[in-house]
Amino acid sequence: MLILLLFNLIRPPLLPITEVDLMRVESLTTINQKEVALGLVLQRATRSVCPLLADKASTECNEANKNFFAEEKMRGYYSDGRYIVFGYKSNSLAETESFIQQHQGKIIKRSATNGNYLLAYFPDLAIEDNYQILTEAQKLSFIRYAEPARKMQICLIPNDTFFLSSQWDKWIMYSDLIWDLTLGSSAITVAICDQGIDYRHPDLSANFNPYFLGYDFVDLDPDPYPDSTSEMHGTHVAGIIGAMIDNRIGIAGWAQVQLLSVRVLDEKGVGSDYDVAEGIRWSTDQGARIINLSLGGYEYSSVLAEAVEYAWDNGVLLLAATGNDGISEIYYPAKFSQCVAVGALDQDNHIANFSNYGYEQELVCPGVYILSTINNNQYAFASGTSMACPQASGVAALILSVFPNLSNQRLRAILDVATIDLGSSGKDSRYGYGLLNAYRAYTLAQILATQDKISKTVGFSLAKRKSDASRFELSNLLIYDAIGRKTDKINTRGVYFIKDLKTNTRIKKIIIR
Amino acid sequence: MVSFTKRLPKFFAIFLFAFFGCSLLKKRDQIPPTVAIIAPNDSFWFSGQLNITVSAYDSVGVCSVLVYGDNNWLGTDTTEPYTFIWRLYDQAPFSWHSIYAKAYDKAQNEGISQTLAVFYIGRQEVSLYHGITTINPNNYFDIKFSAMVDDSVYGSALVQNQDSLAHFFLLDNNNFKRFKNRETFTPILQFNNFNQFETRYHFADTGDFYLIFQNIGSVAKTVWLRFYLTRP
Repeated sequence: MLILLLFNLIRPPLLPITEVDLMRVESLTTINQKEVALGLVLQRATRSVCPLLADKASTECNEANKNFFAEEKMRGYYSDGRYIVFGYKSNSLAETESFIQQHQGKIIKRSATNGNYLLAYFPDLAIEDNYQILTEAQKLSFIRYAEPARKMQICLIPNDTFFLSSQWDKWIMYSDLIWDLTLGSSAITVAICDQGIDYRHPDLSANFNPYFLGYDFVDLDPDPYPDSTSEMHGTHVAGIIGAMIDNRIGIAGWAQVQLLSVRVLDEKGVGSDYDVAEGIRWSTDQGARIINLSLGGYEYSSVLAEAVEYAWDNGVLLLAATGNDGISEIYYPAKFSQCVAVGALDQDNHIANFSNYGYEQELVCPGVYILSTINNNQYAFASGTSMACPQASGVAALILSVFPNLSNQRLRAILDVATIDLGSSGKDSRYGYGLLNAYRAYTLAQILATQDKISKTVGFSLAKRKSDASRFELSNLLIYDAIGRKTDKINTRGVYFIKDLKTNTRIKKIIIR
Repeated sequence: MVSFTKRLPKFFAIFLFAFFGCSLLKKRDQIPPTVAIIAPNDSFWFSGQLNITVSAYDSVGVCSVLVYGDNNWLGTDTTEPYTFIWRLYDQAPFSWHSIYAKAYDKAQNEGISQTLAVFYIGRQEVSLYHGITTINPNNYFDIKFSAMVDDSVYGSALVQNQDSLAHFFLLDNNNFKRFKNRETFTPILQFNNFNQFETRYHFADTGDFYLIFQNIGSVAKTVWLRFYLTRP
């Protein structure tokens, strides 16, 4: 079976970008000068400007605040809703403090800059009670505004030359948000079964181990370097996953992980299922956690099926391109149930017209006009499901970097759920579950990791909020909330855990009065 | 032509069976229907609504299938395929829930499925626009969408190459018409001369809304956009 190369040059053909516009680099590095100078920028949630927020009559803003509590707290943010900023009218400090004390609040900070605002902390109140305080405060004549304290943190905007001019694909997948949290880990290995990769490319070399670059299954030698200058597909795919970030040149790849070049296609972009199967098995045996397969063919292959099964059974997540013929038939190996089938999204919020689709379609990622590395220190735009697939592989690698204990099954479930729905509601044959949202995937993984840490405990959920703040007392039992904090009361809806149970303890029923 | 009088006994028999059939069968049929939830799987993760499909079989015939979520009745279906939708409007995100189904046959025997655990991630995120657009001088780009009460829109815009764009507006239908007619309008949200921004808005009304990106400059601007709705 011929393995067809998924390299669709729909936009202008490979245009090497060799000139680095230094002026432009300079201007890029001055982004948000004021913010950089401060060393802190508002986290995105903070910048979620609700211009009516200060308007105490605004229903919308009350709702926004309510949502803020519910979402931010569950994600384990620092600003969990117990910290509230009060803006008061001049000469109303005493009244404001009195109000806070009446509600068992503590004043954490008073403005040192003569601003009429202060920060208060309500340690004993649950989120929804704080919401009531907000509503109550906003009715008072001396309060200008009351709103939850927002989280602030550093924010990485990569200084790679072409990031803000060309890498729209990363940005619409919320790369900037996940890069604030992780850039990857060299402990995670991603195998790229493809053409050879130019591992000497200055934007790639740091993510290759010079003593263990990969393997060439076409020529059967340990040097998986491209055989000719026209062999660029593998290098382009590699750049999308793992180009160096923040190195002031070229582009930003998704994850700073260890890359393995597994050459299974020749310089024409053609190979056999046998070599691909060999590459998959070899990558698995070398400890790769993710295998990117930007290749495929329409015919079922037993040797490939066995290899894919072998990798999956050994904990590897396989991601494969759906094909570039724009028809309702998905390529193998993407069609195998062990593979995540990734289609291409265009620049207009639609599936790319060349992207194959079908029942097995699982995700879509940007795959049109994607800038990445090519041979000889150059960069080029290219389109294809080959370019979409490594976007998902890169996100998966980022998540594994922080949560390496995630199984391939669980990681796949995270990717599927961390999507923004496109097309028909829910999973459909054109968009699968939708566009992968990298930040949401990270958030989910984080929540699950927290749950895993306390997985030996008993968990239960309270479906409805209890009106009274009833204290929860169980002798010798510790109760934790959904983000792992010890609590001694259960009155808001959500998930709770009982920890440190004795061996063989069985809980038949939990009654909350 | 068959006269009404000749058909009457047949009608009468059907009438009797419909009224008393289940109770007659009850005495004979003691075997409960078999019932299973075929979708979702156990430990299934979902956002937004949960689509539930139940399979039920009985040798005499299944009368009805009921589904329960967190021990609350969600709905009843009497015809195959037995499908249900569970909307977890006010549930906490990242929470586990339970579902099971009951089936009754014509003899009122009750079959109960296994209880499955499902994991609710949170609200569903629906894309309004994820991509890029180039806006010519003195022109605008609009994204029309319908929102319902309790929906929220989240979004960011970034003008390529550290450039800036004159205006962003979130408008309702009436104000969009006014905007198009160059009349005075009142935006729900507005940003001016921005390089990038991030925003969100919670809808208290149902209706059609517009995201407007306006270029009043003399050169075309390319803008990266990522906007989505969250809905229960």
